[in-house]
Amino acid sequence: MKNTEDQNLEGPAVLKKEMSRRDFLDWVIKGGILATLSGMLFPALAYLWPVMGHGPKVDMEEVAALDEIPVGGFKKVFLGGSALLLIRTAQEIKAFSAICTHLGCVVDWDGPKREIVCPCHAGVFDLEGRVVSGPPPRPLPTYPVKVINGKVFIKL
Amino acid sequence: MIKGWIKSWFADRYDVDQIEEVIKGQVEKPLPENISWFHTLGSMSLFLFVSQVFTGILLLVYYRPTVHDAFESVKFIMTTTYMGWLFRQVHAWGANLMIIVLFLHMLRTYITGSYKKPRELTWVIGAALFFLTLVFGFTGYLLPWNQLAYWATTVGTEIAGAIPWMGNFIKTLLRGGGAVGGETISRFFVVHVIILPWVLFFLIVAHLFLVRYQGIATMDPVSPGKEPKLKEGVPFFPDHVLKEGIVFFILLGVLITLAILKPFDLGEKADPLQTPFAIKPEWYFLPMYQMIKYFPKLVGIFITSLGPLILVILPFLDRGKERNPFKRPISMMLGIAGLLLLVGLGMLGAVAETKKNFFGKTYEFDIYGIPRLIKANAGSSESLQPPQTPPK
Repeated sequence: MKNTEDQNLEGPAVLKKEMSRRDFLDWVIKGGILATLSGMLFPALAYLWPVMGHGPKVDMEEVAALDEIPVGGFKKVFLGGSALLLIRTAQEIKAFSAICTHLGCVVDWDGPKREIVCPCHAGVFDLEGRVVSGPPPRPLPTYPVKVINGKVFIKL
Repeated sequence: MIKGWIKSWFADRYDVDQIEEVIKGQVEKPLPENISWFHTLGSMSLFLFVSQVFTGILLLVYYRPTVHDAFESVKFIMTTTYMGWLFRQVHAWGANLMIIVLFLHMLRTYITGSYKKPRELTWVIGAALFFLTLVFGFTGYLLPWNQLAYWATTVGTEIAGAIPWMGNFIKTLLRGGGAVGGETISRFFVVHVIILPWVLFFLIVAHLFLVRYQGIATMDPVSPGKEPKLKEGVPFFPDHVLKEGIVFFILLGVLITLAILKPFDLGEKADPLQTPFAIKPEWYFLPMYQMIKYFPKLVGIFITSLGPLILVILPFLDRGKERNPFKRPISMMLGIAGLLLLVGLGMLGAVAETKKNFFGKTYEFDIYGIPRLIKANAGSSESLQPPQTPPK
């Protein structure tokens, strides 16, 4: 090191960048170890990334029988790791995520008032899932529903 | 520059010079001239332990220790998650290699006489580490909840049940009930992922501390008083570290190659109503398993537990002063006899209850590993019953 510094005083500035054999090997070894470690790290991180996060399931899933839910009534089901709220109106069955968009409490169906209410912070949604009042920032997600042979199917 | 800034931050708060001196002393610690490639086996065991911890943590992310989910979650790890199959195979092969490497490490220590005064405790802790690693293997083997694992665990815990006086108590304690089931999986899980890793960790710390504190044994005979400290020798860094680095990469290559080319099958999900034919424990338990067969239950257990006991208290039994293997003929003979016994029993255990072809003739090995000539394509005979009856 001392030698190169001395040379720098008189010689051209290019010498400053000259790499010794020792530095080169040092870089090769450190680089090799770093490459090995990062090569191990990437698959581990990719493995940790949620497998289910790649999009919704394609198939419709049976969640209830039509008889179970009276007109104006509701049923809560658990599908694919999240809670859903099924509401039967006079015409059809509607499916909402039962997770309040505010802080994640599970919402309820208030039959007489025809509203979806969150018990935690008094959030109220209408039958389209839109926010009527209260703190929720977004409407409730809805899901397509099909009724076939008296069975209720949902597509997540 | 940032490096200087960090340095001064610490220097203002801690006695950096003193710490640096300790680290430098450890890094450049002189090792005796007889340090060899075989002296890297200890660090390779440590590397495998670290590898087991990391792959184990990754497996834990998706694994579920219940009768319902265990098998499916392992299947999920192997088929759905990114590279999950590789992590499981590296974990499984790592366990097997760890036992081999530990065994070779103990063998090296035995041959170079390093267990003798003043390093008796290092040996005792090391032997404990070896047996705890076997327990690690036994508990981990059950967790995928497949047929082989289920029945090997049933047989294994049944053997513990034959211990006199407290056998039944131990069996029930291990199983968490009358038969291997959901309670067993919880227990084995807790032992495998929480208790053993930490026990092993602290034992490794103690083992390593003693190794560093007392230094590597030379080949000189045991000195009468305190062993003199080694002043000169091969520096730990870079000489020995380079060897360790080379062996490390070879071992890593072997580990990953085996994981990819010789993967462990998951097999079928455990079925408590159907005992598969010829249940055997993992290969590292085969010598003990085979030994038990030749004696009445009680005597067999007594004799097989003598081996580990002798191994643990070896430094207190063998008080000879010599370390050089060529000057310890009796020790070497006993060592070779022990090795032959282990290998022989292991091979008998491996062929027992199988059919094999030699020179066009089919032989059937009974549970004692004794071959009987049978006709080709003959049906299974009476002697081919599994050694243990399935639990009620």
